[in-house]
Amino acid sequence: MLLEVSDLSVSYGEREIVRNVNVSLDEGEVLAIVGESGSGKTTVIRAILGCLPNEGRVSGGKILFEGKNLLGNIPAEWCRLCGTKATMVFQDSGSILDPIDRIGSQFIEYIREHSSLTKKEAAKAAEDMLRKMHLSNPENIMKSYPFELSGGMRQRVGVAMAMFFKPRLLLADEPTSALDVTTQAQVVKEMMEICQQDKTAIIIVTHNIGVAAYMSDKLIVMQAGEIVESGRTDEIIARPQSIYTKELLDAVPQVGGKSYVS
Amino acid sequence: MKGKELVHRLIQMLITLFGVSLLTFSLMYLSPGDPVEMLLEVADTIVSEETIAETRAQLGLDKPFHVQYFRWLAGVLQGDMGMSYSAKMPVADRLWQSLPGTMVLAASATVTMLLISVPCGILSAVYRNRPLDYLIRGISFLGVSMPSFWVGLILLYVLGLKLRLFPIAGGEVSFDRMILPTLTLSIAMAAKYTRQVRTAVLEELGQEYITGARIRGFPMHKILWRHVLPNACLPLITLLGLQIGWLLGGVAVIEMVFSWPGLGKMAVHAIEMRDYPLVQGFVLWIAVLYMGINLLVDISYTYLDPRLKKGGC
Repeated sequence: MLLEVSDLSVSYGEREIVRNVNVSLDEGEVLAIVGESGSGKTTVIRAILGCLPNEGRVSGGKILFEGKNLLGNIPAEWCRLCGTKATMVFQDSGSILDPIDRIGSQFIEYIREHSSLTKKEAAKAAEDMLRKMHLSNPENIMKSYPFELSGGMRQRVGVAMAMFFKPRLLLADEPTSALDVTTQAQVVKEMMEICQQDKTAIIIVTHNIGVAAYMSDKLIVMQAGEIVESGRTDEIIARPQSIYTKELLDAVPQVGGKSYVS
Repeated sequence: MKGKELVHRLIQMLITLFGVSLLTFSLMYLSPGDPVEMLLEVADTIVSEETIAETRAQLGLDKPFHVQYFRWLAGVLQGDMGMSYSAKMPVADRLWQSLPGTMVLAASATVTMLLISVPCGILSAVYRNRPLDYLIRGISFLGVSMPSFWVGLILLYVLGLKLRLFPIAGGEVSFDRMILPTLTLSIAMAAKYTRQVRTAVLEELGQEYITGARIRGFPMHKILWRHVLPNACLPLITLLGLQIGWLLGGVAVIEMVFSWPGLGKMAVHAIEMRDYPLVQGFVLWIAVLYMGINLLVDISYTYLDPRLKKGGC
């Protein structure tokens, strides 16, 4: 088992906003967490990598990654884990980059933090990685500032950086929600391709059950901080047990009588 | 900043300068005290009405206000700031004489201030709401609350008079005479700036790109140096410009306390003597300096923030 989260609870101040969440994930598996906004799905994956916002803290449970409880991590251990073995893609990869530093300089800095490549080698490797994410002009992207790229390009840069060290686990927090539908499909496809090559396990958080059904092996449905349904994706889509899951599935637009989910 | 904007700013500066000079000219005109009497009193002799009238005519002070002002303005536009009554030399020369003292003091105070407040502000932000933060905030609160002339006098009394570590009498520009006034000025400035550094760093620490850098596995000290500080610099440079503005005024008081031979001391003396041309020259010079610094701040922005340089958001 790559990742095992058991009875996880997260509180913001006095308020417990995630209760008794259990997640388990094998090598190369794809898990989707769906639910409406405010259901606590983003909180769960942020808790896994120890990056809850200021007031947030894990108030109970265990997070085992490769058999080690992450909740006891000291800062140096987080630095060894994050960015290489476990990485994250955010809703807007532009906002998680320094706004006044060029993409290239940040990418190279990131590569050199976790490897012994020279500046030149790192730049070359970064450009290759961008090309792998179907970005056609990597030299230009390296010279750009985050604000100069379009949403789709930014997300591809985000995925390229997150996948550079072939992580065991990729956490994706609404990675395509800010994109238009066509770009969404492309970015999801490219991300899946690259993860399958490297056998990277994914937890994707999304409110789009269509994306979830397309990508995932396993599905977790969350509502108001608790899991209401979890299991194999195809089974849940075919035979949803909870009323909430049924509602979510009914909300998916149908084109020509055919649901986009199946 | 583009060329057109720069020209716009320079025109704005000229209008401001005109306003500033008119305002000081009227204030001096309206204030009680007669420069001619002041001037002749120095000689400590009884002077006749004729001599007073003669001197007044000589200095052009018998003319109505607007004639006096425009005569002065016409001179300035031709590069002549007039003669100082009290120093009996051209105003420009007198300003030039006092300039080094003030510049040296202002520069050393600014550097000392940065050396104190930048590390303290960063520490305070990083250790937010922990004992170290409370300590730094407490001290800076104390520093902001104390008037700087009082701090100067206390320092003079304790370090100069009681402990005899530093010379008390000023009078000339030298390193050991500079320490106390530098300290006095930088304490007041650092107290305020420490809080501003703290706020700016905290603001940056709350940004998403910090989370991003942590997720990429960077240790906190690298994130601080490589990303937080460059970003926090942007607002801090503006605030530094304002601090230097304060310094130009604050320095006058401190120069008096330590009898430091600079522009501030010269200006106070000029006001006492009702030396109109010298006061005008001083005010004009300070205004130019202040606006120049702010212009530099704005220009530096365009180079430091790529979002402005490339005309983005």
